[in-house]
Amino acid sequence: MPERPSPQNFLPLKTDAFYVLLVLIQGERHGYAIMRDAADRSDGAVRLQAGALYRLLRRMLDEGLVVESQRRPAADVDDERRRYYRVTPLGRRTLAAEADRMASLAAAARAVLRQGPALA
Amino acid sequence: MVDFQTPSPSNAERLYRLLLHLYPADFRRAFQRELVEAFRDQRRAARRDGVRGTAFWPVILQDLLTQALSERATATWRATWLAAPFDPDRSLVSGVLLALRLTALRLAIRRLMRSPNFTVTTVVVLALGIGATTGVFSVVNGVLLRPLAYAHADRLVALGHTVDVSGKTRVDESDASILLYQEHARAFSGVGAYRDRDANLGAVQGDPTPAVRVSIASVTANLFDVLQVQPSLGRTFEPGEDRVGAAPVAVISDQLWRSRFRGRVSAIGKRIVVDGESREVIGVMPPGFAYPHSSSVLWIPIAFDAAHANAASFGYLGVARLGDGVTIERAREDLERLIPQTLVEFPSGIPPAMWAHANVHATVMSLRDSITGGVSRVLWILLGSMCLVLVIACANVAGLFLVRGDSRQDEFAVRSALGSGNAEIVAQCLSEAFILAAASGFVGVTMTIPTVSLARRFGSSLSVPRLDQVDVDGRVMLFALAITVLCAVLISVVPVLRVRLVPIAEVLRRAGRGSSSGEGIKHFARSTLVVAQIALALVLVSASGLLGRSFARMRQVEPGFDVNGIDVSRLVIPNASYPTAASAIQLYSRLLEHVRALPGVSDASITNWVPLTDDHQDNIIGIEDHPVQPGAVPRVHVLANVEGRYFGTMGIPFLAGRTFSALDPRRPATEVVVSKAFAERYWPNSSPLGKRVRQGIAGRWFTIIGEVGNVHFDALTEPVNDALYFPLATQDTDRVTVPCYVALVVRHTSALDDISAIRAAVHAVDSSMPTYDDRSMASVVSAASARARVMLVLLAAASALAIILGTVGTYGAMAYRVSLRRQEIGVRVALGARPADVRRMISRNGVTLGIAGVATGLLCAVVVTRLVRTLLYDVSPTDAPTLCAASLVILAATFFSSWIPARHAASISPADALRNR
Repeated sequence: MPERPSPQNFLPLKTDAFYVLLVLIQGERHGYAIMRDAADRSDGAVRLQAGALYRLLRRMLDEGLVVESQRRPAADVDDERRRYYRVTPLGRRTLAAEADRMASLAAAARAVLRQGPALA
Repeated sequence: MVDFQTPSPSNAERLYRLLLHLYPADFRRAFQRELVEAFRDQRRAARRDGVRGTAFWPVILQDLLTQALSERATATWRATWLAAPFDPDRSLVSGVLLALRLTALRLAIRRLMRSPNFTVTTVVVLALGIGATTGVFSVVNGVLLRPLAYAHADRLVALGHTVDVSGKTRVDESDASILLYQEHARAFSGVGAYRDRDANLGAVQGDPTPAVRVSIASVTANLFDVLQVQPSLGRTFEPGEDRVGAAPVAVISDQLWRSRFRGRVSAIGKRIVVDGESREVIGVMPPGFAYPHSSSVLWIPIAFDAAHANAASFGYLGVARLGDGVTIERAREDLERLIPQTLVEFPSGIPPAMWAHANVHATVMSLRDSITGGVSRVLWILLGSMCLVLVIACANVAGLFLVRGDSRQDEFAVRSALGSGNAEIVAQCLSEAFILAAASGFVGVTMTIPTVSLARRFGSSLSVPRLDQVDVDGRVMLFALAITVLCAVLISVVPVLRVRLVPIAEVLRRAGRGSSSGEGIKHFARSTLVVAQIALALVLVSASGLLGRSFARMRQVEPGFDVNGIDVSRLVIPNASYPTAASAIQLYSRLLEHVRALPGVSDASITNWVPLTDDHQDNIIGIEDHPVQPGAVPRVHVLANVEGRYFGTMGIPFLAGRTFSALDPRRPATEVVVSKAFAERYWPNSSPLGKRVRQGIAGRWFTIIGEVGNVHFDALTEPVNDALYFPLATQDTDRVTVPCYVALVVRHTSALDDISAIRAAVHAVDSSMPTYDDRSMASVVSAASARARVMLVLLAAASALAIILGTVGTYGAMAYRVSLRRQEIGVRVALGARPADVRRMISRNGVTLGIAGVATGLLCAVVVTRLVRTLLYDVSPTDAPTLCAASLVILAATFFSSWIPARHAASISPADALRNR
């Protein structure tokens, strides 16, 4: 049995991966829905294209951050050709760890900025 | 461009599916369905949002191309270095070390000698690439990279200003600004200025040589100190010698000293006559010194007059040396600080509100960049295209190398089995590649030397600056060495990777069956090389196609005058000999009288601006019935002073009104003729005749008496100028002015060469007045597009080379593939395949490669052709007809090169193919 992977191994997350996790935490999505929601959530800053997304998804699948969902959404919205993805517990913990990391960075920066510039 | 709204939906999707083949097979298998699904969603969304296909496809294609290529790169990387149970670094490093041993090199030479066809082909192809690239680099090096030949040349800067005046954005320096900066600027160790011109150099004491035209410069006294150049004899100017009323002195060039004074030390103190004024020679500059032009031979001090300095007359070029540790940006800020002071120290009769409105700002740029700015882009583009040719050549040779490696695969396998390591096999490939590249590099550099002299000759006719600096120096040799090594690496990388990728056991297992191993990888490598060659060739062909189309457009531009049958001859009337306007007018009248009387001459006239040459004259023009806001600056227009019969002589059509009356020294005209564009700008719906205009803000009003057709003054590629024509003698507020730098334009009826007759006529009027720069108007016009033409020829040559190399490369790959599939084809034919089927099968292969190459190439072309945008006239860098035509040419070439192997394949007899088994 291999060692349980730690979220720390994946930090810092690339912006694209961060948004993929963020979108998937809200529920299972297929590829295009991930692209669309990531763009919405980032106010258009993250514009994933299909090729980039699927290469990223493949890596995140390999790393165990996301998995392909076996459950299908409600029959009326389901499109059986599509594959749906969801976050693994590891993915969830990784996102949380990344958020903590960024929060502490932001706090450090704010603390210095509030003091104003050092006198030269 | 594809518009996704017009074709049926499945077409776009089919195209996308086809393009997905750019991804490696395993990735495609895993995600193809979903990629297509996502593509469909995206299209639907784009259509809903009203995004046009031209905006949609580039995004899709960019994603596809970058992701597919990086996926392929990652896959190859994994397959090569990660999956194989083998220490990569050791075999590669020891392979390189082995390859460079003398015995290995000797063996490689022996092996190459055994296949002379391969060796000669490779060396010729690579040498062409290396030679062309190094040749262009030597020009880039001399013109753009070499520091100027002055001490600490990186501290030298050119000064200028930007302004917000309609019709004008950049101006040089005025006497006021130079005096101000010299006095108050702190960022510089010295601020100098100059003004270059042509002058009549009269007879020298004791030397009977007649008067000649020379290129001279009036300079500030400190200019030589700013450049940090010492005279080889005598002294240069002293402070104060550049003020009005100072003693007339001159510094001469080494060349003038040798030709006119026979290199005698006694030249110092002798007198020399410049434009009719006698000057004392005080110094001789060292050999090789020529500033601002390579033709400058004589320097006289500027005569600044601080009391009458005019802040708005930007007639000087500023050059300065930055102080220690001062950056260009700091220097600019320093000058910015001073600009508001200008009118305080030199009121110049300019309303302060107008000065503020003109928004004058200082510019400081490296002196070298200011000299080479015009050609640097052209040269870099040329170097870039030569590098493309080189890469194509490398891909081509790599393809040959791969085939060669194949034929020796069994040998390699047996060697491996007998215990020779991978390193040794790598070493064999590398040592051959190094020998080939070295030989090509040697031949290429040898070719560079004649190329350089050719470039010098060509370039000087295109007024490329600093050509005297172009040479094969250490840096060029280093460059040649670097690209030679690069070639060696590029051509050997594929075969070396192959060694890594193909397990020995498999080679041996298949050896008996006569089929070659590692088919997939090898196939991919060869296809990639072919696709790369096709794509790069398409880039070059597109670029030269665009230039060709732009050149054709340029040829269609009407200059605005009748080009044929006109000769131009320049002259300067020295102030000293013709001090008054009246005397100058008299001279011009007599000149015209003489020239018009010549047999074969139908008319002649005088102008101070020959269109499409470096001549330039402009001024702010006030329009009586278009007053500007108080404080605003009226628009700047170009203007020429012409004699009344100029329009008829040049064949510029008269649209309304009349021309100036004959020259009369007692009655200078206050009349002006305007171009159609000028009239349309101000009076679009009425006649300009009778309206009044003036130069500057307080000059005398001139009445418009005629309207003539438009002329391209600056360049054929620039819009026609809204120009004004003033009479040769103009009455300003208190005095009559007559230009002293003029050109005689002569229209003749016979086709005879009249230049010498014109020269004689001028000589008859004043023997001390030489004519210079004599040429026909047709040659002026053709020189105006010469740079575009040469660029076109060079790029066309590069693309022709690229097409040939690409075609040969495709042919080689296809022919080789046919030879590998000989038995299979034999079996097919035996089983009843018709020759047409076989032909189709093979040529489909080639055309698929061609389409992949063209698709990749088009994507690259769209990006790369943007770089030539500034060289294009009236053609968009993504001009669809040109790109289509280029693609068709390339596709046709690919089809042709796969058709021959296809025909060959169709003629394979099954009996032969199977017997050879």
